[in-house]
Amino acid sequence: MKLRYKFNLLALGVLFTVGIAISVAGVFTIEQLAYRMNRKLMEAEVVKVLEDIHSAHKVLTESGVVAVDSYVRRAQADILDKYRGFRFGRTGKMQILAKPGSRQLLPQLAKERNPDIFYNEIADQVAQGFWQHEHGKKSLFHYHASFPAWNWIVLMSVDVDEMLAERNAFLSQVGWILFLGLIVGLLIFAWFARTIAAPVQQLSEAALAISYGDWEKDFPQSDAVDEVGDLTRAFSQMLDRLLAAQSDLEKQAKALQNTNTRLHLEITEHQQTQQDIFHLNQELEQRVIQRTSQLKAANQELEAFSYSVSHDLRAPLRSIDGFSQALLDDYGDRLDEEGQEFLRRVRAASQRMAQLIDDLLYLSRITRGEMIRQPVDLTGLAELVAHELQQNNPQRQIEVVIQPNVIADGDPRLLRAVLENLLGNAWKFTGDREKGRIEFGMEKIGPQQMIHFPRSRFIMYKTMAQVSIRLMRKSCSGSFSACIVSTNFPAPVSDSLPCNVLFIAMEVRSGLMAKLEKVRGSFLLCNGQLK
Amino acid sequence: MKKTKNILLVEDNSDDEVLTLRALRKNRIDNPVVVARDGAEALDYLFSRGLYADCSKSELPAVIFLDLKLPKIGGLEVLERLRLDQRTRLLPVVVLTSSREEQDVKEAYSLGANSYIRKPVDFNRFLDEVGQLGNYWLNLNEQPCQ
Repeated sequence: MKLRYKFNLLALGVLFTVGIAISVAGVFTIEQLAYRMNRKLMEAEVVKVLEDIHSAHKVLTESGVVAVDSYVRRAQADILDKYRGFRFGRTGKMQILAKPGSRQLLPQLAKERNPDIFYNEIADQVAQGFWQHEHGKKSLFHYHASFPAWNWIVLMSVDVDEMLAERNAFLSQVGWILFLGLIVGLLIFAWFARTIAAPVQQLSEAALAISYGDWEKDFPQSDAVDEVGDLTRAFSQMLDRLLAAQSDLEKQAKALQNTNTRLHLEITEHQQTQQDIFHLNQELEQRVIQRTSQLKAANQELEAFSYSVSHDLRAPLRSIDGFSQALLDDYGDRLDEEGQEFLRRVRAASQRMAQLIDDLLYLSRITRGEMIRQPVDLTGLAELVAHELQQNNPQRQIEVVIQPNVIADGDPRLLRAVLENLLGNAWKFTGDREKGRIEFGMEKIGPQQMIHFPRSRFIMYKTMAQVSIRLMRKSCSGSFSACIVSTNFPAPVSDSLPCNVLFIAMEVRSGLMAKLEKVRGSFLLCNGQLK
Repeated sequence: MKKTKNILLVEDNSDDEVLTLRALRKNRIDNPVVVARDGAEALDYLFSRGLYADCSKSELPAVIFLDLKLPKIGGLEVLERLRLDQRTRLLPVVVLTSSREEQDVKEAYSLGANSYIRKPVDFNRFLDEVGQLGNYWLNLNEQPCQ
């Protein structure tokens, strides 16, 4: 059953019950009132009749004729006449009766036997009082009082229906009022159900539907000018907004889902990429290992080559030199001066070739190791190298001037090789002079300047002037190349200018240069800048 | 009885052999020289087997001039085997080779070589060195009795 009907019925039931209760109470009250009023009235009437009888009897007594039948008869007849045809209300009757079996002076009293009255019943009652009696279809209400001097009974009878007429009228009125109230109440409740309970119920149903996520349901509309109407309108507005928010949310959710999907894809891609990178890295590592082992193999090959060069290439040279000497020793007297000179030249050539082989081996050996970068005292190194040169050629008078505090950043072994080569060449190319002078030092020249370096300034870092020029010529001949080696120079030198760059001119064989080119960072080679 | 001080020259290159013998002669070192042309032959001689099995009275040499690059058995292996044998454990061995590889020098000394000489190309220097070697190992140096 719908809620609104329940409400209606409940309220109606309560009201109706209350109405009926009130009516019943009213009926009882009115009934009581009617009884009491009628009793009083009946009693008063009966008392009036008794007073009349008393006063007549008193008159007779005072006159002294109370024992005289005729007087008594007359007085009694007067009383009877007076109250003959007495009516009380519509159905009320007054009767004067004689006690049964008593002596009566008036014959009509003795004769008159009211069949409606049952004397036995009256006799059962006390001297006076009320009693109710069913007489045929009618119910009668009686009041009686007795006058013992004459053996009379005064009886008043009223129809109960008449007595309760007010009550019945009230009952029917109340019935009508209740019926009308019920009708009006039903109408009011119908109106209430239509205008308040129904919209509220619709609202509750709509809210319930929304709570289950059913957005497709028809939602309540109202143009009522009351709180429920306001509520309905507010609800539908709220609903509109909710719908908008819901669709927004759905859009956002869709967008989020798209983003999620994209993100997932990206993550997958990312993972794929990572895996690829991992594989590539592994491949790279594998390749590095492979290359390293190849390099190792190449190095070993190179060592084997060096080994066989040092062994096998020198053996024939030894034979050439040895047997040339043997010829000179044993058969020198059979050769003229020119022949001997030729043999000496053969020997010199073989010895020079041996020197070349040694140099080659030396260079390959010094560039084989790892490069270690550290500050190197070039002054000390140059002094050491110059000292060795002087010891190996004590007959030469060369003045060696070395600038103090020349410090470079590089590999000490390689720098020593550079200096040995540089100073050794300077030594060699001043060989045709009795006295020579070799200077070693450095000057500040920027690297840009170095590129446009004029030939005349090539000497900057001082070996001797003529040595440098010779170097240039050599480089032009193609058998040697010249290069400039620059290296960073961390500490300022003795002069006031801060010196950052050290330039060393050197002559090297192309083999060394190729080696040096590998040693990036420490040596900057400017091959071909010196033409 | 004074022992004859033999020299064992282990050398596969005939040119070098001739030049070494010449250098010895020039330095007036006239001790007998036995020439082995590979490592196996040198070991046969020293341990009296193979070709030298019947040389019952073969003396151990006073000094061995040992080349490193040899056919059949290399110089370093010859040296190693010598040092493992009780009889030849203390024999003076001079490595006379054309290599100056650090590796060779180290290995030769760690195997028990007494000297390591690199043959120079200049014959006059070689002459000088051989003279010094002969003088040192045959005259100056004292060896324990075998």
